[in-house]
Amino acid sequence: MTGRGEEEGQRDRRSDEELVRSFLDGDRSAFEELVNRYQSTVMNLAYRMLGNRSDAADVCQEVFLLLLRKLHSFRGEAKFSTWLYRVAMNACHDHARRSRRHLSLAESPDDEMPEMEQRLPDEGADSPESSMEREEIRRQVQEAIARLPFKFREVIYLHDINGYDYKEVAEILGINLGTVKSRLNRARNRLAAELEDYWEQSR
Amino acid sequence: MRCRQARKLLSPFLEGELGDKAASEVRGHLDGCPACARRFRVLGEVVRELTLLPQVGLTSAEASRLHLRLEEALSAPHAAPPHRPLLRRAAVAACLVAAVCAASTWILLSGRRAVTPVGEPSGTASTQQEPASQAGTVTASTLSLKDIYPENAEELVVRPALVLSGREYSAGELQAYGEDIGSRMAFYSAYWYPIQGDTRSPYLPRLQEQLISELLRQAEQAGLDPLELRQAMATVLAEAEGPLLPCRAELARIEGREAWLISLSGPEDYLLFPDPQVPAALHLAARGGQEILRLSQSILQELASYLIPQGGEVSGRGPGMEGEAWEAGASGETETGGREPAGAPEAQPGIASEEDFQVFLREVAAQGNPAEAMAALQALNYEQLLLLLQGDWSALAARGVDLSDFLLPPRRLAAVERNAFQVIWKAF
Repeated sequence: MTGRGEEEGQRDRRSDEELVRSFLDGDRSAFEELVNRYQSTVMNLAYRMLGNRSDAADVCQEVFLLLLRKLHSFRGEAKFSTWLYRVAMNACHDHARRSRRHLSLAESPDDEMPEMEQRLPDEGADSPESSMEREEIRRQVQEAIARLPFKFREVIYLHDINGYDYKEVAEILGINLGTVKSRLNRARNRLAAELEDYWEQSR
Repeated sequence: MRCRQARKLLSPFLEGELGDKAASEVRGHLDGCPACARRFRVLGEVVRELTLLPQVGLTSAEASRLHLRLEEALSAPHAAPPHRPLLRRAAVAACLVAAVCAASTWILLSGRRAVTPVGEPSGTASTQQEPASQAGTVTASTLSLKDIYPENAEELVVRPALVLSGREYSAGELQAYGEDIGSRMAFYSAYWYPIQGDTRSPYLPRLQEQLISELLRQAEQAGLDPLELRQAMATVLAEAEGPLLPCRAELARIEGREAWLISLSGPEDYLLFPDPQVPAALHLAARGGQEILRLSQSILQELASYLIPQGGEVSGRGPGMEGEAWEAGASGETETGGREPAGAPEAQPGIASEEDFQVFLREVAAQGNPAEAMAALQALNYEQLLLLLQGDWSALAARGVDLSDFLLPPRRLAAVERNAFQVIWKAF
């Protein structure tokens, strides 16, 4: 996997799979290392999928608790990160379905956002005005994502937001390449249609 | 190239995935169509914005809470990797299941009927055994439609079934599983959908969650990890359109791989349900769900009165349905409230006479029920009618009733590989 996130830059560290083995051999610190490595990845995924910080934190916790229980059954057929993404995505879907709050982004103020976001380098030079515009654009985009069916959100998140290629998305979601492309196409078209008026007015 | 066609190609065009000819056609269209050109511009902006969305991490407080919770879990006596006691228990259960399955036995862990015999009218009769490790551990639990239809007096109770079979299925067998009404009676014991047509009902997500919770509870009682089953459920439901209702989860093997076989009911599968528009009425699907029989509350109460034997207990009462009508004059739950084994001595069907039955049929017909559905109903004798109203499909099949008059073959079945959380087979 080549997505953004903590899993990058691990060349000198023990691999995820080695950590799993160590944990199963009784090394608790190996599990803590896995949590440290992936907690932001899972939180980011959950936030983008659910559009709600509180739900995302709940799911994040749920995912790692599940991981704790299920690591013994991880067989290493898929990469650990693939397996984890799948578990996290399922947990998000389950949570969204349970709470039926995945469309309630507008009710969840984004005032918590600035403190937790890690700005990307190219955004550092924004003037205050353009920064506000940028926040508004992001809010519009995130709301439009939240209105997508979950199947579409998955591919948008994995491919466009997280940077996984089609094959990796297919592997994580357990669907074929054609389905990934088709869903991505439809998801993007829907986002563009939803945001077209806003975008044109704001330009 | 028309706009509609062009718009379908905008995303692959943006990605540079189109061949030269198609790309040239799209480019030509964009040059002459301001609306599509605008859409393409926005599409590009949106995709760019998606790639720039910032990473959202845990706040320090959230991270502390997470680590604290995980620390607790790790320190718990049954935590993994010192998770062994639970694992051992599950392993013991699995061994028992495997042993039992060798004798083609199905084990149902389902609410009050901790072990429910399943009639196999197709001739593959099975014996029910209870694994020693699970004996007496599954306690009563019911899901009530009172929560769902609070305005109605009627109450239907459903108990989704958790089955630990360990049975090996081939893809061909799974196909047959979905097509053969007679061979999988267990399926129907918990198979129903309360609302016809309207999948937007706010009741459905709540009911879906209730059913899942009950299955998870049963899984936990059987020594399995409920979170694992929840994940499997989530995997299946992610594939489904609309709020389908999980009715049964079987831990089996699909072509050599350990998997959860999960069946779901959908809007066309409704069997018995109260009518939210017409309080005090129940609908009964007939003629394979093509027709509907409407049964008024007064008729049901009349029937209920037939069901009360001298001792005051409701006899012949199955797990599929309970309600005020059924409880009129009853003394409450009976020890044998669950389904009797097919072929075992049946409870006497109350004190009604054949004459009562004929009166009932006339009253049902007088309510304008369709003639075809009435014909199917009239083909039953009184005892069969009672079983039908209780949704006791196994017992009906054992009595030679053609269930295709009243049931649709299950259409939605999916197998999720255990711990891989991937759908490896599905039919819906």
